[in-house]
Amino acid sequence: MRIVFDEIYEKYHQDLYQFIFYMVKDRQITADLVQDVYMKVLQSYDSFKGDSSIKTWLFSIARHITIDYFRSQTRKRKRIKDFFNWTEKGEFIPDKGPLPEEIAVQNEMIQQVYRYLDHCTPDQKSVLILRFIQLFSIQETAEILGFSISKVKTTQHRGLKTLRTYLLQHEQEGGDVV
Amino acid sequence: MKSSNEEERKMIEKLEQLPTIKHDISKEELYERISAKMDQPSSGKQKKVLIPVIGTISAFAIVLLLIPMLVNNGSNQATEDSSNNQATEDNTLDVAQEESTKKESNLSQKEEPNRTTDNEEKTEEEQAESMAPESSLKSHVVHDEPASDESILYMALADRQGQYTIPLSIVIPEDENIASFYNKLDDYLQEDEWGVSNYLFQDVLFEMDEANGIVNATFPDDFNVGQSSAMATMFEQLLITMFRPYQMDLIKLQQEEGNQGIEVGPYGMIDEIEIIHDTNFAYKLYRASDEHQFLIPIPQDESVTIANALEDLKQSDETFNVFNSVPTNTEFTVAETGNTLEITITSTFEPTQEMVTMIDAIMMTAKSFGYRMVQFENVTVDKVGPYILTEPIQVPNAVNPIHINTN
Repeated sequence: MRIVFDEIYEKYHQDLYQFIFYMVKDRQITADLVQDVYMKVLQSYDSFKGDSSIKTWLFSIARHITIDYFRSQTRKRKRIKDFFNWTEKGEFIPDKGPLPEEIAVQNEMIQQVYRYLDHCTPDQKSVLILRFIQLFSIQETAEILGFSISKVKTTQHRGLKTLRTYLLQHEQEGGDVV
Repeated sequence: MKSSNEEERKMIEKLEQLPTIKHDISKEELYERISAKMDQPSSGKQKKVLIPVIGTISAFAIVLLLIPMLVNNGSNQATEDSSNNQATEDNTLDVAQEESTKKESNLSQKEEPNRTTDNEEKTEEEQAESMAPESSLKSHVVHDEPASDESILYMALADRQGQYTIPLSIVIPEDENIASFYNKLDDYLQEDEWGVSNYLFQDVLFEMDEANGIVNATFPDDFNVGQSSAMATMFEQLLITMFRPYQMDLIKLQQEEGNQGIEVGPYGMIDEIEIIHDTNFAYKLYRASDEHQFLIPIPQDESVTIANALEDLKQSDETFNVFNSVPTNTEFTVAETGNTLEITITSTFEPTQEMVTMIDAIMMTAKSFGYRMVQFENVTVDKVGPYILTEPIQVPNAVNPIHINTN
């Protein structure tokens, strides 16, 4: 088990951490989810048959664990929403937390890109992070997400459009757009 | 269009400037934490602790954040438009059928001029051995819409090694209820004899909401696919293969007791699976039994052209019991006119079983690439098996038919 852990850690740990961090944007939650990913990987490594690369397998597990986390959050939000009879918009929680240090030192445009990533759906967000922050290929992204290549392209296009719309609104209105 | 691309490129550049985020924990410390977690009696517990804590905290935050949002109705949320998926298969089926009384039944092979079954296909060696009489040539596909007194039930099995899905088209009497027939399949399937894995969904209840393209799948509470990543992937792929031909878009998973989602090995809890309709496939032969073989769809990257996919049909992967569906010495060129694929055979063409199987595989591959017709050129015979080669042939309705006689 230690050998497998060492190998995955050396090759992919920082990428794995970064992917989950940009998805959930919270260091503590990221740390917990990263541990969950390692647990799943170590528990099922023996049955990994190499039908995909270790990299895409690892990230597909990370993605499922992250999506599970989002779903558990959505279920809780739904309960509150039902209680107060919120509109659908109530399901969406924009990121209003303090910026992590790495982002806080960047220019305002980058900070806005970081914030408005949350206006994308989890699928769009996954594609944008994998493609343009992690610099994975379309093929790798498709394997990780279980999408066809054309779906990756469509999702990527829509995600970029969503981001652009909000950044444009931000520029025009001169403040945060929710 | 150009300016839109330009805008997209600029957006990508901005995303690429987002900084690297590093995990400030040592490898040793992380390993110790994971080991400690894994040593706990139930690995699921830790997760359950984490989520309620976050949930409680976020509940307050959510209420605070939602109040201003209620006031601001102008905001909008981007949502994935799943309706954009274009269906490329045309084998739709009316599943709203009346329940019929249960009958004693058995599996049978039914010979019809234009719709034959092939579960007792000859081995490749036997096929090559002689030019079989025209009447004994069998096809791996269903060429027409089902007869008025029949329906097709689409299902899928995994190969023995859990690497490939094997789609099957079960032809059942029209008066059988398709949804409930899924639970009777065990009586008819001969997985051991066919050299495939056991049907995974015998006790799963499927209900199809045709109007909304949603399949509701109810799993027994003790349903378990194990911890293998291959099986988790196969679980998803089998369900997608089963319901793609019905033009369904989404499979919702729930447990008998009503809980949404089921635990799928290393993937964790999954409550829905989206069906992608525009995947291209190359159809090769799967054979892990002396008596039976099936056409299996092997997913192709979007960059693979139809010509490359057809050329790939000559390749085998014997480790996984996957064999070429086009003889290795076959030479052809490919062209297209509209929805018709034109294949000019430049090597010898004899009316053998191998050629029928080759045409089956080419037709199914062409269908997955969106073609409606295939025209074979330069062939020296007019007819082989069910195929009239002198005119364009419509792509098949379904693959790997199995006729069930419930009388």
